Amino acid sequence: MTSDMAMALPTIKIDRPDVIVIGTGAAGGVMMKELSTRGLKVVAFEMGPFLKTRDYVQDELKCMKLRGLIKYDQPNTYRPDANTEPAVVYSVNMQSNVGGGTVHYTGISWRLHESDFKERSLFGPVAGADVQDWPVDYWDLEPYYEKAEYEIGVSGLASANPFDPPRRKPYPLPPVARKSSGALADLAAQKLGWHSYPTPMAIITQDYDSRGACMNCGFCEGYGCTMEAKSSTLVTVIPKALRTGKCEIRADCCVREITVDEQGLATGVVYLDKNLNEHRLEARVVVVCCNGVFTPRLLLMSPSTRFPNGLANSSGYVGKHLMFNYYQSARGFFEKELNEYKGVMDTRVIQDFYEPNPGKHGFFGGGVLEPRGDGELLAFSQLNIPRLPRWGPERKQWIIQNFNRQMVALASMESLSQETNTVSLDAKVKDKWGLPVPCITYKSHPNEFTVGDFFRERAKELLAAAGATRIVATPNAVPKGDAHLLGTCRMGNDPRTSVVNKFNQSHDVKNLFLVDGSSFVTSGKSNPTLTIQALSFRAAEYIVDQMKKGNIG
Amino acid sequence: MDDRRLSRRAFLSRTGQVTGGVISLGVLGTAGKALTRQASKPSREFVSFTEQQGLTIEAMAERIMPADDQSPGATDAHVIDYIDRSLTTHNAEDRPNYLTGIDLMDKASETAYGKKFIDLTVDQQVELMTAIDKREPPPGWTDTALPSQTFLRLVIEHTMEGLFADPQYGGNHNEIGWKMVNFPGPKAFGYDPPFGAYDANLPEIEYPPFVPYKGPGKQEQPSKKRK
Ligand SMILES: Cc1cc2nc3c(=O)[nH]c(=O)nc-3n(C[C@H](O)[C@H](O)[C@H](O)COP(=O)(O)OP(=O)(O)OC[C@H]3O[C@@H](n4cnc5c(N)ncnc54)[C@H](O)[C@@H]3O)c2cc1C
Repeated sequence: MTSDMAMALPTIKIDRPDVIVIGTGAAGGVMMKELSTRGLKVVAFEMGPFLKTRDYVQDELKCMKLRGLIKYDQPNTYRPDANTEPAVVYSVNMQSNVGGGTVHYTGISWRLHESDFKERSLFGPVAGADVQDWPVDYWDLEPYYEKAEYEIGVSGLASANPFDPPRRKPYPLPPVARKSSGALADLAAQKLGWHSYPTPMAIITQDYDSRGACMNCGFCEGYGCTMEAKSSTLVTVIPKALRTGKCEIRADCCVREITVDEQGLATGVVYLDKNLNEHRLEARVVVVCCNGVFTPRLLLMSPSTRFPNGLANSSGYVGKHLMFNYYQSARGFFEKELNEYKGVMDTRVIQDFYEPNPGKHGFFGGGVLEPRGDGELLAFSQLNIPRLPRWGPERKQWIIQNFNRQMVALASMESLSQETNTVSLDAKVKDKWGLPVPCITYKSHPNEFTVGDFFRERAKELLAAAGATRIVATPNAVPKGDAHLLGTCRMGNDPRTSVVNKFNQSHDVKNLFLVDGSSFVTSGKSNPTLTIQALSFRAAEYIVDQMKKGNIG
Repeated sequence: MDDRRLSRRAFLSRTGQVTGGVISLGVLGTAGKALTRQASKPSREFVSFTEQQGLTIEAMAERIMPADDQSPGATDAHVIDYIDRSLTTHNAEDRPNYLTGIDLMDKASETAYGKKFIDLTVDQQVELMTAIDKREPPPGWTDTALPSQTFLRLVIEHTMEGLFADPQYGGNHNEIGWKMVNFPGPKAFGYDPPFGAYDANLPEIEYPPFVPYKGPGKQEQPSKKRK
């Protein structure tokens, strides 16, 4: 069944690429495919390994606790503000390998709403935050959302969410099978007058594009799919790129600097191989797809006489405006068995509270509810539950009784852009390549906790309406890092207040593109990856066009 | 001899040097009347512990997830084998804390009862573990670098791993942990719906049919809600 597509792919060597792509995750995978299928020679760098489907395992301990296979194994640092000494943590929740974060992600893939692109003009400024409009709107991205859904393989039901933005085509695949958490969400939503709908998922529900349909094995979020049913870039666009014979992946190679010439154009990269030997490679165009933390880090590691504060950083905004998504959740316990270990993570979403309408809710920024079966055994057995001992007969009985009878109502929310939330180079700590690790400086805007309070109550309300016999909720806490890494090279029309233009092209360096979550201007409510991929499809088209016209490269 | 034992033997010979070092650190005492020792596991070949230390952790693990007449417990699941082995692999950095913690457990036990931990009755062991599960350590627990609660939490974490992680790591013997909670373990070929009681019985919502947006683009954007 498992074809391990990547195995039979040609490996070629390219000495003089047209384009260098750095990072092979959500955005990088799409970029490699779009450029190479249009005839450009591409070398893609990936600091992690080129693992194949057969390397991924259904093993909670290995994937959820141990670093290396799934969890990025290098630390970063964190501080709440610039005056505090950074502490070593592992808070950048990412995966480092060919396919990047799409190998282990959950696959939830909805489009941003029209309002996400225009929050400043629709709802006005927010004190203490820097909320701006995007230089693109939903309609600029709509064709590329469609392209992403069809090329990657997203399943869903296009008519089911009354709050969805309009679309020209339905999803290419029918929605994922409803789990008990989804059925209970349906029940609750009907009682409360909310609208639950099938979660759009980058997981194929029927055979598609020479891959087999999902079999609901349940090893999904946090795992590499052993069936190749999850539409990671590793099994979708990357094999297509390699099959052109015009794309080479240099895995286990970390780019440590992007070089520029006297005119201020990018000339190529300096990179380290597995043995820390240094090499150089030149290209006409450089595309950085290292994610919202590692893209600004690479630019900051590439100062030159022309760009003393880091490459593409004449605005001073590289690394600033770091956004995550903010989460709150409630866990509900039920009488009958849900068996949430089966199936994909999440089969229903509720977007009734999506719009960031401060007039209506008394706060800025909306969110979504994602009812799901979050509770794998190792984690579940050790959950901190009020009044429940952590050990002994009572704990044991509780685990036995509840493991299959619980679900989580996850609320995922908007995070507001603040100039003081940043990615910078840590002054002391180095990674295994000998390079400075990223330092995260992050403090929640007060609004975040207000939204959090509102959504925690909605999450509890949902579980209560679904008939939960007990509900346990999380408290507000400042995130030190996240899986959604956004905003650090924001997009805009004005080179003084943004890093890239509306095609993800650096304002300062015409043949340098930054394509990933770093270009987000607002955070959306959750699940940025489909938008990251839509941006990548769009930027790739622009790059090809500009190279053809001789404007760049 | 099952595969698990064989591979453990192979493992032992590979890590011979490390093992020797550990054994010389501890006191090789007689096992005493270990309360939880099972007839099915007569020979103990710990790689991270002396026999005394290993039996102490095994007893703690059994108090953490005890067998009862309904279901087996930590000892039956070979949790100690998991912990012992993991301290030479992925939990290696915790090994010094185990050696210190066991020592302090015994000191606290001797202070309170005049006996080592493994020689206490089950009730006394529970009593002592309840005492160390506090921010204030009990008398005899003198190391402030390793708070008693931290040590207990460590053993709890590893006991759960030994019970519920994949059997390849040495615990969860015969998938006892998985069977206990009605989890079938990884199933490469997955499951067909219905998955649980609620998706089987609650009706699906009927959604309206899809109407594609055919507008010319920016001029005629339809309103957000189509209802
Ligand atoms: C548990 C989990 C669940 C998630 N679920 C969802 C979900 O349901 N929906 C959703 O939309 N998103 C989800 N995400 C987020 C998603 O994984 C990311 O949004 C996405 O992968 C980001 O894509 P990217 O292309 O920006 O970067 P990445 O996918 O992070 O790829 C960047 C790559 O660049 C490489 N790299 C970095 N620096 C260098 C360098 N200097 N040299 C060479 N290589 C380098 C990295 O190793 C990495 O492989 C989830 C994340 C996690 C952790």
